[in-house]
Amino acid sequence: MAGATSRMSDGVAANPFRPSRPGRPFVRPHLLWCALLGFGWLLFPPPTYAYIDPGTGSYLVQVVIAGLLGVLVSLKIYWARIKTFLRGRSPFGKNDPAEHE
Amino acid sequence: MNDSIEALPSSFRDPSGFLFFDGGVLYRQVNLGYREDYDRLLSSGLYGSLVDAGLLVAHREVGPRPPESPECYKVLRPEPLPFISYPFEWSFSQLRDAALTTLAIQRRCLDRGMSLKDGSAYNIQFRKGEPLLIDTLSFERYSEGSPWSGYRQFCQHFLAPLALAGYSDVRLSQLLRVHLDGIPLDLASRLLPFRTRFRFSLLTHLHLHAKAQTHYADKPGRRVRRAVSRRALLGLIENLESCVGGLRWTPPRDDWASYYGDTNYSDEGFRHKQQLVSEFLDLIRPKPDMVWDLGANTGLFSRLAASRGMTTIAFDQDPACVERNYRVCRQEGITNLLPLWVDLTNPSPNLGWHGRERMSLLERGSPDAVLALALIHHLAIANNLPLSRLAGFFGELCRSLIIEFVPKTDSQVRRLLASREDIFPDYTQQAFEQAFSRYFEIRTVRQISQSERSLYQMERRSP
Repeated sequence: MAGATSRMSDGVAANPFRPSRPGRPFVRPHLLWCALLGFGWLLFPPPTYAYIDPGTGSYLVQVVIAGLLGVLVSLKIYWARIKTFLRGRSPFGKNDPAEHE
Repeated sequence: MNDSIEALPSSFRDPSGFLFFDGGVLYRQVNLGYREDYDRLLSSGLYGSLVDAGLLVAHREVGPRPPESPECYKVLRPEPLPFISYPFEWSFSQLRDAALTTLAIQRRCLDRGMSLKDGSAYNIQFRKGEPLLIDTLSFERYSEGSPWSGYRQFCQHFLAPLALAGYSDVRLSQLLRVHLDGIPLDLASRLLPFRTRFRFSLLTHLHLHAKAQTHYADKPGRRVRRAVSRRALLGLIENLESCVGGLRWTPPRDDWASYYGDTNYSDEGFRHKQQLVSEFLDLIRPKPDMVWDLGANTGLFSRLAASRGMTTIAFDQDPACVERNYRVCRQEGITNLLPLWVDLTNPSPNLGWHGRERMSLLERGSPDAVLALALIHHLAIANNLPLSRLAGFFGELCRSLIIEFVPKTDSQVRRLLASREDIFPDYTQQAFEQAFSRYFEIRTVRQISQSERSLYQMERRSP
């Protein structure tokens, strides 16, 4: 979206949805309209008939989801360690250097 | 690739190597470009671990097949499979088990410093009743920070059809037959009910994934490389496992799956039919290696063939029957019976590039013997197929045929004719015998006790 609206002329952006014609600048899409659409778009993605590159979206989604799930995995691991610790045992096993300090 | 051997049309996309036949034996060439990944697969112990766990097809290395190809690194001879099936022919649980197998493999890969480079359902086949990976070239070395390159494909090939089957309608998984690279996620997202947006894994892996694909589809390529830690990747696999494992489909108790209970057979008649089918199977010489049961229902009669050591494929057009059949096979540990969801009046065609990437059903195998029990009246009367066409079809398909004739006076046929005009004056036992005698020699005919039906054992006439 950022690339499509980057052509500025006298503070007015070219409409990303129509071809720009000299002398007929279009008003920038209303933010409110975008916000309203954005919510619906989030829940009901519009159909895509041309799959130019589904890979980029998949990649970014994976990065975000995996990041989030990675945090949850870490939390689970630390929570297990805390529980073990509270039960009075070392969470790190016999060879853990912390035990010998 | 050299001139004398030709890559199988299903494997031309992968630059790592290709499959080819030489002297009727299937081989896989590993290209030099894939050398390091292949060596790592073996040296890391991943190959051994996957083969031992029944998750990967075993192979042995053979010398290069002449004439030698300059890009050839190794030639492998994979363990042969009796039959190749496709994901759109699988029942819900078959597809789910295949998905869980893919994830189990990816988990083991990460333990050994490798990763699956794709998540295609076509790389999974059923052998001895269980799913396994057949593409030995699907592995790549994993480097810390890399995402799973098979993630998109996994969501399209497995998650989308399973979610659609579980939440919308099981028949929607047939979209895999139209979309060979899996169901487009925006389509899946639109077809899934709203409540699936409240399930975290479906919201993210399908709905938001679809939205991101749509959003970035026409954006200029960006070289943003963000790292996905190994722990995050394991979290992703774990989440996909629990998501797939949590999807359910319960077959409805509909007309077909309860067919055995509703037929006009008495208990005695049903037992007699089982006894006759067993006898007829034992009569066939030489003993058939491969039996196809067409219109197998939940596979009761297919199991008679399977129990005799014959590799049996049980086809039915009703997903509920195929699902029940598969579940019984898993529960009872039947390993040589593969239930498949196929409508005989519209069997899987040639698909993909050049119409050769995926083979039609009839190109994928030829049975030695065919069971066609309580089927002919559905084809002849419900589908208006003339007896001569049916006889021609079976004559092309198999050398031995066990077929049941159901006359018009049978209550099932009367039910088929109840709402339509009887335009089948030629549907008689005499006409049936005449039509089939053109292609087959009728060896044995027995009437099933306490019914009006007859069971035939036929052998194809020599051409």
